[in-house]
Amino acid sequence: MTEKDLIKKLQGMKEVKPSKDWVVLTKQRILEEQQEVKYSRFNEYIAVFKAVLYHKYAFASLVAVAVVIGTFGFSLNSMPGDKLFTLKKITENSRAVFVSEENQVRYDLNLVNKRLDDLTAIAESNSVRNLASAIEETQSSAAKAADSLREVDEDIVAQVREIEEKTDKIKALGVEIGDSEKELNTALSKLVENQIQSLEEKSLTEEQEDKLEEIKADYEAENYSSALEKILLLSQ
Amino acid sequence: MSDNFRENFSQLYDKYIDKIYRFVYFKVSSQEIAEDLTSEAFIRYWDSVKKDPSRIDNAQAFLYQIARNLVTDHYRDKGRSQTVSTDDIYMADPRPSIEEKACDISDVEMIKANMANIKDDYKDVIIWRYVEELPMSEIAELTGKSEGAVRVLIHRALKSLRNEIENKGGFEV
Repeated sequence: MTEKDLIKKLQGMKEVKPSKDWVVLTKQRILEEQQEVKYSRFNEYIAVFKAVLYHKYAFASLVAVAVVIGTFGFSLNSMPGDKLFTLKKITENSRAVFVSEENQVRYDLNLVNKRLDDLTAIAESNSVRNLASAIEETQSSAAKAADSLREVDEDIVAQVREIEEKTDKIKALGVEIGDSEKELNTALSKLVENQIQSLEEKSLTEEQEDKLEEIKADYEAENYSSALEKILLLSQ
Repeated sequence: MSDNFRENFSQLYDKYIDKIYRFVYFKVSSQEIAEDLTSEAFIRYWDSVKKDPSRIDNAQAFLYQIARNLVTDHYRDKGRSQTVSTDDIYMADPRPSIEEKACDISDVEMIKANMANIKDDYKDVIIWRYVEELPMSEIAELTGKSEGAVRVLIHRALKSLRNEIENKGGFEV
């Protein structure tokens, strides 16, 4: 067989063709499959939407829980006088339930400090609308802390010192916190007085007697945090 | 996918379906496998164009490349040899398509059986040059070789096929 014959035979191979039915059906299948892919994506969105509708009560509950959690979370940044501050107080009061009795005074003093922080922020931003509520909340927290103030330790002294500094700062801003300071001072005064009486009943060295005199001077000057610090040192 | 894209694909399918089918058909053992691989080639072409239309400069070259890869994968996955005997063809493909009847069935079988025993590069250029009658420039583009190199390759391919046929007793004339 010559090369020419072979080439002629090869050219005849062009007659090899797929069946017309297969060609048509395959084309149709490819186009339909691609259309189905397009529709299936659309159907996925529809399915999600239907699932939401089908489980609407479950979704509604979840959304409600999320809203409540979100609202409580958001309320933690609220200030006295804001609508969400009530929720913040509920959260704080709920926490207080889990505080042990021996830590109650620390927790209460911490709240006084927080209210003083709020009051400072309100005074600095000149937010008149919130001012009255902030003072009221500070008074309320100070009264509660004064009630539970029975003992002295380092934490309490540190918190009292912080309260005094913040009170001075607020006064410097021209805000009069009135009864808040008075309530707390009365409680501190009583606490220091009790501690002085307790020390007077003990036999003290000369040096300790001198310290006691300094404590009494601080007490007279209403410098309670300084007095408490010295009581703490003397008791150790 | 826009109607325009579908229309373009439809036209491309009509233009190349026979060529791609033949290209695959002469490399595999049965009509069914040729049909499966050919349809897969067009599906992959569709997917590629959909993902990144800019990557396809030459649709024909791209389709041949996909088909060639599919044939390679077919033999690799199945662990089969590409050597197909005449008996295999009869066994695997007992019913020729209507179109095949237009030419001499025994010639098709003989060509196919002998093509199975030559190098892949040779098969490709024989199909492109003598069956599809593509110009040298297009074959050069499909192979990534110069036209001169393609001429040499075609010459060797034809010689190799002739040797195969003559060793098996040749065509009945």
